[in-house]
Amino acid sequence: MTVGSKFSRRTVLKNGLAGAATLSMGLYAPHVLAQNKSLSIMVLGPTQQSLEWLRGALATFKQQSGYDVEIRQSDWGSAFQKLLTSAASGTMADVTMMGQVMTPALASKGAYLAIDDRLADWPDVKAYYPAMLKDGTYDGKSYALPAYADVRTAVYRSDILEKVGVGADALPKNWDEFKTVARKLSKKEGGPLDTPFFSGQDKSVGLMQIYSQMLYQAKGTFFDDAGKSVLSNEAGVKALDYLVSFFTEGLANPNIVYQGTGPRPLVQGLSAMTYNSAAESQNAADNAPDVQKFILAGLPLSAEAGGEPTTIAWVNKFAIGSNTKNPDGAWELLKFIMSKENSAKIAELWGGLPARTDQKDTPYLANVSPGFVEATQYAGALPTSPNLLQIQKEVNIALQGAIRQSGGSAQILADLDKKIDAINGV
Amino acid sequence: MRPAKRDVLSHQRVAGNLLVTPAVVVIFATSVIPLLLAFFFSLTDYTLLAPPHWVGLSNYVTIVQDPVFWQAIGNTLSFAASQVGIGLVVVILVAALFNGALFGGPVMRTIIYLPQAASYVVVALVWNLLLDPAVGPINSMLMGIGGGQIYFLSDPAWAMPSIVVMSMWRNLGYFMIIVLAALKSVPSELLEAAKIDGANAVQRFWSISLPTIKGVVAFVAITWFLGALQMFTQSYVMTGGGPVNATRTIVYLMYDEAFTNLSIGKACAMAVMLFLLVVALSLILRVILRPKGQV
Repeated sequence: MTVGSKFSRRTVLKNGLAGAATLSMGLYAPHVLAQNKSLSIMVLGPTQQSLEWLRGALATFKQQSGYDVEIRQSDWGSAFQKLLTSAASGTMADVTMMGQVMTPALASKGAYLAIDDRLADWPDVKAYYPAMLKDGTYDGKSYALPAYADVRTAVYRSDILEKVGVGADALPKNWDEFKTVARKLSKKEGGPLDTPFFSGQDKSVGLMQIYSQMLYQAKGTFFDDAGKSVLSNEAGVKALDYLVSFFTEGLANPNIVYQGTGPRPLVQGLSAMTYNSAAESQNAADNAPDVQKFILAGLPLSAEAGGEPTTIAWVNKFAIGSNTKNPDGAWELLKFIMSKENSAKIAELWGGLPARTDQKDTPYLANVSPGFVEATQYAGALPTSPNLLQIQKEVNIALQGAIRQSGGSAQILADLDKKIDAINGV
Repeated sequence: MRPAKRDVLSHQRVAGNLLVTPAVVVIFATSVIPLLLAFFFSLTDYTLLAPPHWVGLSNYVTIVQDPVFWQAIGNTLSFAASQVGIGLVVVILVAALFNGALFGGPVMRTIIYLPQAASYVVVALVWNLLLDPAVGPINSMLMGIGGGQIYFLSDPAWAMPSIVVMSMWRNLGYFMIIVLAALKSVPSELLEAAKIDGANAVQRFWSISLPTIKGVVAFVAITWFLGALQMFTQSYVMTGGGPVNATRTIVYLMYDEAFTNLSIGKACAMAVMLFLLVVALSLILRVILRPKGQV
């Protein structure tokens, strides 16, 4: 008897194919099953504390829904690059966190799922501040839910202000008053500081963020109705002149730049006034806890006496990646993360203010200077341009030159307008 | 029957080709294909998230019309030239020092080499702290001896020189070891003969050691210079390309184009231009630093 007679070629082939099919099913089936019951979430700039909380929250989500959620993370610095490359390679997390200016940049390229239909059936949507909810839209469609707001206002070191007789009840309300206090604090006028005002300069776009607030306070905008950049109009020039005047009068130093780690200039006591958010208070808590009680938030300023306080909120959000294989599961996860309790915890742990009107009594707000919370009602948003990432970088570089007196405000802004229009193709 | 000589050669050629095939495949996959792809994308408006469209040479035209590009080219060249120009002198001097009988030489060599073992990010973060105007030890020392506070990383006049010094410190050990190895190979009989003839240490080094190691010095200069043309990490970590673009290099600009401006096409065009610049400069440097008599 030959081997060939017992194991014909056909039998071997059949058995081989069956074996291969069984093996591949065995290997693939758990993957499919796991895929159906697994999701991923990308968070940006988490701390150890916030990650621990998130793990706990997602364990609860698993009990409720059966979904196992993988946590991915990135620092803010490389966040956009990571979101972009993951979107391009189809590996974006099912639910991703994102910063203010990333929304239009990525939504315009189809990286996120529109959620208007789902929002229509979700009662919690009414709880959000409308301006913050609008910030998650692009081209008339909703793509993201606001998690927390980085609301800016005028921030002071109360202990240093007291040295020149400025109490918490007499904080500046407009530009002139703000400048007057800065002069009082200056060593030139017998005050305690070389550089009373910190301009928010950092290795990112901090200077542009302060200028943006001044621009809005001067009733200016970035773009006109036709989408053309109008920074060089009267309001834009007025705002830049005001910013630059701190440097020309020696009230600020263009070379003081926050490096991104350690205490900020206000916390160090190098300066006593700036524009910032509750992050200033958090920075003190992290680096100099004794100083935190002296971080005092005032009202956002107005350009003129008697004007409306004005500021900007940078709203960070969560959205569903368009490459998700499980949109329903991703929506469940998004709703869970954005529930009243969870989003309040995210706001607390990420150092922001709540984006929902029903979170005003959240316990952690008791430790935040009330001015930060109060500023929320005066906050507008930056325009939702898909090129804002590039534009804000260009504005920041131009401002770096302006505060070093590289030219007149009108000319710098006119050049900037041309550059921005070229970026936007208008 | 012995195989004909032609058959042996033929078999050897086939075997040789087979042996180099894996290397050729890897080089093609990791160098040649990406280079060709970069060239192709440089002629498109590719954004990563949408299919590319042919735009011809418009990316190149836009780039050369942008003053920031030329500023970045200037920054890159000045960084590379100053780092290698000053660094080479320091490297040769330190290597010469170690070539003599130096107390604790091996330990000192290790200490000088150590920064090379750390990543640029780590080194940059350490130097960020060292150069901090408020809490950095360098400024504390300067102010301690009556000097003024220097904003090393935020003053446009100081930012690039600070990065040059930090990069030199980081690379010193690696290139010093190469030059030291070359110095060790200088024939001792030549040095002894010169000594007998009355040449002092400086004359011996200048007239015998240095000419002998000229080829190695040229190699160090070329590789260091070409590497410096790709500077990115130091600037990204320490200054963010600022202040006022003072430390924005050509690779930094490429990164910005690709990942901030979503313009992969323009970033690829810059990469192609940098590639051509590197090729041109390496050819020029080879000619300039070629030992006499070599064609």
